[in-house]
Amino acid sequence: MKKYFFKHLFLSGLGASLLFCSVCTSHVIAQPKETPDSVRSKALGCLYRAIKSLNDRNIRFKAMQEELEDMRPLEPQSMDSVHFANNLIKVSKYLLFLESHRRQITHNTRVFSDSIERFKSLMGSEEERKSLTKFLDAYKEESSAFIGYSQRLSLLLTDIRTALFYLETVPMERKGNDITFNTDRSANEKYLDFESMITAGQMHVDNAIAKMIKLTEKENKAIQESITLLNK
Amino acid sequence: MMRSLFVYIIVFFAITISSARGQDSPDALVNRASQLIDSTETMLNIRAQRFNEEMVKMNALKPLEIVSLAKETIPKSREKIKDFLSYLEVYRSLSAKMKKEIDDSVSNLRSKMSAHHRASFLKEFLDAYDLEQSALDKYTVGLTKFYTNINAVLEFIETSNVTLKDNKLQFTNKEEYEKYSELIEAVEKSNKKLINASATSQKATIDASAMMQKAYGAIRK
Repeated sequence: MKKYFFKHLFLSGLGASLLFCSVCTSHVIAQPKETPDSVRSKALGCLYRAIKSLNDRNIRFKAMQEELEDMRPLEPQSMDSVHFANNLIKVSKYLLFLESHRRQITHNTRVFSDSIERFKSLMGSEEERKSLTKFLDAYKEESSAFIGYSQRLSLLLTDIRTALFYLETVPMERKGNDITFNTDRSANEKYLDFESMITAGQMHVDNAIAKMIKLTEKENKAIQESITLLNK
Repeated sequence: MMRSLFVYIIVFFAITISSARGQDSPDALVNRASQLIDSTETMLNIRAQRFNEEMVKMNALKPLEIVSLAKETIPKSREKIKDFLSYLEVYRSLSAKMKKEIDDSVSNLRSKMSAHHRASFLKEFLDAYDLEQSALDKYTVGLTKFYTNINAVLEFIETSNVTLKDNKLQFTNKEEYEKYSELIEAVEKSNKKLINASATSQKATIDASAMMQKAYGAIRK
């Protein structure tokens, strides 16, 4: 599901060519005495930058998701003090990143929304205004869904951190792929609880990704409509 | 920290002043309502920016990481947490004053409207403000609980017989270890609530921003 999601984003028809266009366009704020063509051109620049920002975000999250998948924090090969300490550092780093990234998404959405509203007010055609409104709505909806996904990822990481904090302090032995807890049965039960909690957390993350795929498709459609219209 | 509070207070008074002046003609009322929305949005942007700056500082603290648990580092971390908790209290009290000020400004503008338009005038704007503010309040309360719980862990480590060895905390007393586990569990629980409150607040900010833009368009019609 996750792999499909990121592949889907990169192959959504908005990739390299739009990135190139976004680099070529540099104006954001509309100046006085605009002509309809200059407004359209600047609005397009704004859309391309938004797309670039979404693509950058997805590249960054794809890398993080892969790192997370490689971590396998509760598998026998990760059950030693070196892995525990390293994984705890990684989890804390991801949690901080996700928290600050959620705030950044909100800030960017606000700025982007202000720019689009400004362009809408300068557009002469009702069709163009409607198209920008549709895109902005889709953008906001997708941003909210992404925040939901990031939230689920953070909850999953918090569960992983709780498990690591606990396992770090429990005496255990590892022989190949078998772990034996050198305390009472409760340690083993707790370990199994952590495992099921983390599996449930992963399912929530997958559901959040599935929701995002749908909204990304909707957003891509709105982007393409707006771009086609503004390029006429 | 003080800088952010001063900016907040200045914008707070700017809103008060902008809402208090002007004539009562329909155009003047629309202008005053627009000014109120503009200055509120400016305030929300500044507030979010300053708040993020404070959060960056707190996130850099990493008070429960092993490197921060040396006996000489803990008092410094606790001092910063105490400052942040005070900041959150002041922040909430200023937010409450700001909300009252905005409510008063809207009531004042409504009193000059015809009875027919009074109830609906700026309703969307107030709803947007309430949506954002209540979600943010829950988030800051979550932060207070989270950092209070962290402070409790640090206080416990400071006073117990725990040592740092091989990048790990080592307990010699079972009861102390159990108490520590209990405190850490409380931190993690409050952290999960905080994550949910944070995401809800971010989503509310996006929704509120859209509602404010609609409100701005509505009064200009």
